[in-house]
Amino acid sequence: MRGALKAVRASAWVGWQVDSNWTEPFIFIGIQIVRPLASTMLFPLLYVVGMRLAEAPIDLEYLAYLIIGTVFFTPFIFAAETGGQIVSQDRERYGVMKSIYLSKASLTPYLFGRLLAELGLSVIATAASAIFAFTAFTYGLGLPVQLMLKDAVKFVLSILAVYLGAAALYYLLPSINLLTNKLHWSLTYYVLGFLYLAGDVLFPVSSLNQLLAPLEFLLPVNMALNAARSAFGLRLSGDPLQALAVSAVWMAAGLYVFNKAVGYARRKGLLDRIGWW
Amino acid sequence: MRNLRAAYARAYVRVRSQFNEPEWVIAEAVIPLLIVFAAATLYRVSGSGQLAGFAVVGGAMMAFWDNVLWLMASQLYWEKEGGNLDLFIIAPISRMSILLGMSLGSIVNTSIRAAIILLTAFTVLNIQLNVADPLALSLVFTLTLTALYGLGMLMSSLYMLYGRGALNLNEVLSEPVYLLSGLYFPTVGRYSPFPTVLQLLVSLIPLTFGIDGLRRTIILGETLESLTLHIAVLTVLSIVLIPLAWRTLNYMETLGRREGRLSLRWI
Amino acid sequence: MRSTHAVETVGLGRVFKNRHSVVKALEDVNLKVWSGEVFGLLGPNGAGKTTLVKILTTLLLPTSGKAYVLGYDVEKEAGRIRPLINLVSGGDTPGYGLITARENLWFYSQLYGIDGRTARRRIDELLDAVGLREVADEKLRNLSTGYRQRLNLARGLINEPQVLFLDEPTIGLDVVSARRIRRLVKEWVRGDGGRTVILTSHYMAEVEELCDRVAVLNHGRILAVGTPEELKRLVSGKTVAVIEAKFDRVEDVMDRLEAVYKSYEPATGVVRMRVVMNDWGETAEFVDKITAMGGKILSVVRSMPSFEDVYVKLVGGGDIETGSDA
Repeated sequence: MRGALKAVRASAWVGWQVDSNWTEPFIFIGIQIVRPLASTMLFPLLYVVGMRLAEAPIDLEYLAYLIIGTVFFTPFIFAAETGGQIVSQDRERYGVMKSIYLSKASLTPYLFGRLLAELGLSVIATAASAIFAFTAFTYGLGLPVQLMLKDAVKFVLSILAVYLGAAALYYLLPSINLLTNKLHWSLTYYVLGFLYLAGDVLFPVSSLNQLLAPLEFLLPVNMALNAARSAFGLRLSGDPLQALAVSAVWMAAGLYVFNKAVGYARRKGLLDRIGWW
Repeated sequence: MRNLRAAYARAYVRVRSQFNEPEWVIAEAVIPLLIVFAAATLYRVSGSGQLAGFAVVGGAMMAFWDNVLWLMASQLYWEKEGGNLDLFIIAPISRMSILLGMSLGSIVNTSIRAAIILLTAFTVLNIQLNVADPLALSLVFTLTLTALYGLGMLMSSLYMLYGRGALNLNEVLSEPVYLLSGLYFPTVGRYSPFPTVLQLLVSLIPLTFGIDGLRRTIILGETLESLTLHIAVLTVLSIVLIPLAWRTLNYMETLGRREGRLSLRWI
Repeated sequence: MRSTHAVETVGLGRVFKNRHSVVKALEDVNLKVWSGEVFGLLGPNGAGKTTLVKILTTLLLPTSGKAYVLGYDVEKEAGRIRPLINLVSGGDTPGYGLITARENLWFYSQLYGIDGRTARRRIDELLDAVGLREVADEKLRNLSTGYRQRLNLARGLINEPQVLFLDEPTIGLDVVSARRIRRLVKEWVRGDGGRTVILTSHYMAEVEELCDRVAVLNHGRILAVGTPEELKRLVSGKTVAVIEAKFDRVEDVMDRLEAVYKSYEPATGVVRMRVVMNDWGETAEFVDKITAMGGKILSVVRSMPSFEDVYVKLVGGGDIETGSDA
């Protein structure tokens, strides 16, 4: 157990070094703060400008819905981007994957440590995005968005659901990339693109088609975001315990699939295969 | 003649490589489409459905911006990592011919992807096209690409020498540029949510006026007369960026040879 | 006046400066290479071989002195040099993985402005010469390291250079592939008068086999220049003792035996050493040193100096470190 914890700590340190030390501080801030901020602001601003162009009134509650959705989608983006690229980076570019696999701790604690580093960074990005969005819309554009926390317990539980769901994604993506390197850069963006469309990030998934409504209860994103919205007082049925349960199931599935994928990769000799894409 | 051959050869390699990996063609069309559908649905759900076409034009142009960042700006860095940069330097050609070839190949590849995105999105979303002036459309599109790839060449020179740090800059320049240059909604002019100072700054990105001009010609049916500002800005950017790229490349190459950084990997 | 040598350097120097250090990679290098020669640059890692090659191939500017390739100044006339040279770096296999070997060669031919018909003919000839005809239409990413390195050599010959720079061309290759590369180089040089090769390596046998003359570098300076035979005369009149000794704890003394070490058999604990001496009478001194380190002498055999001994002697080494307790 102590060994595994040491491995997790060392891996978290590596994750921090990879994300911070290999760039100039200015670029580090750009990647970790400015970029998530831009992602957060894009769609709410699209809504505001669209309504102005259409000369229609802006629904502040819907604006709050959008802002909460894009802000708390940030951990999913962080997790998916790292999880989606960790295999190609560690296996292909840096060649460390086989050494880590062969070590006593092996891959699961390593990935967990890297995840902790990513989620830690995402907390900063999420908080910065939330503060900036509130300030920009309320004082910059004169749109007094209701973003005051109404239920702290609900909020904490919904954030837990968000991070658990993000962690599930983080383990699922490398599971796929271990077995095929064809998707080493695209898988992340397929998944994120799909989640923007179907994850209740910008609109309820049922807006696309009523047949897709069950996805709200199946994906690890929807219920977590709706629970967070409900914690901010928006008129939505968002049960954080249900959201937590769904995310926990996804997390368990993510770990299970990852371990199976590692076993399969070992059988097929893929753990150190390079340049096959 | 040698430089033209080199440009053609590099363009050929680019086009051939991309189509030898069909997964890339699919990914580079499907991923923007997902975001296009999300943005278009947001327009529709929120009550400004008539603007859904903006999202489609934005998605197509996103393919070009991503191409400029990842396959132009970063390319000499990747050539350095792969050992090709040394061979380009010692070959009796202008390095600009390599960048020109890369640009032409990229434009071919990305135009095909953009066409797939436009056709699919316009069909699935049932959006009305409103092209009143094809000449205006062609002019705006050509000038936008010229200025964009001129910027790509300029960035390429910087990335060649500044390596990893510059490559990380790509990460910073993706989403912020989508937002600031108005990929899905206008960020210059009357409806822009940004202060005037910011609007002036973002006008320096070729994508800003380019995409706004394309929106106006494809969705809003505007003609050449209402696009004189756009054409002027894009022309000036093209005239400035391409020679600047040339000079910067020469300067960077000399600096690299002086400081011994052209062959350094992992920096 | 323009130099008539294939390569000439006059007081050539190159200094690298960064925030923390200043490194003199080359210092006062004076070399002349004749047309038609295969000229070797030998030296340990960090000796300056690759830096010298980079300056001569116009990749790097010197910080002092001058260098000329085919009479042209590398600093001021790089544009005139480039059509006439090429570079093959071992360990590098440049090219584009998603296009075929043939297409890769065609691409590089276009960087030299070779017209289509000539390029096709030359590519076919080179593919035959390096034995890649059967994989010519395979994508580069599917080729093994040996094939890629052969393709790299073919690429280096595509413009029929007058001076070919080979920077450790056989590094990382298996014995058979390395032999093939060396044979190809010999055939190419013989093929047309006036073809010059500058070869860097730290494989003695390769240098001895291929090179007409050799320069030995260390710490950025030329230590000696001559034919392999001339260099061997630096150690002629010297003698070599091949000593086998057994140590109780060989790991304790391996550091001090590094300069003379040849081989170690773990099963028997026997270390084989090769010592270059001025006189056979010095053997006793070495035997004493080994015994003082706890070694038991098993055999002492006299031998003739080899090219490797020359190299070891020149770059430092060839003696046993006695340590402070000797």
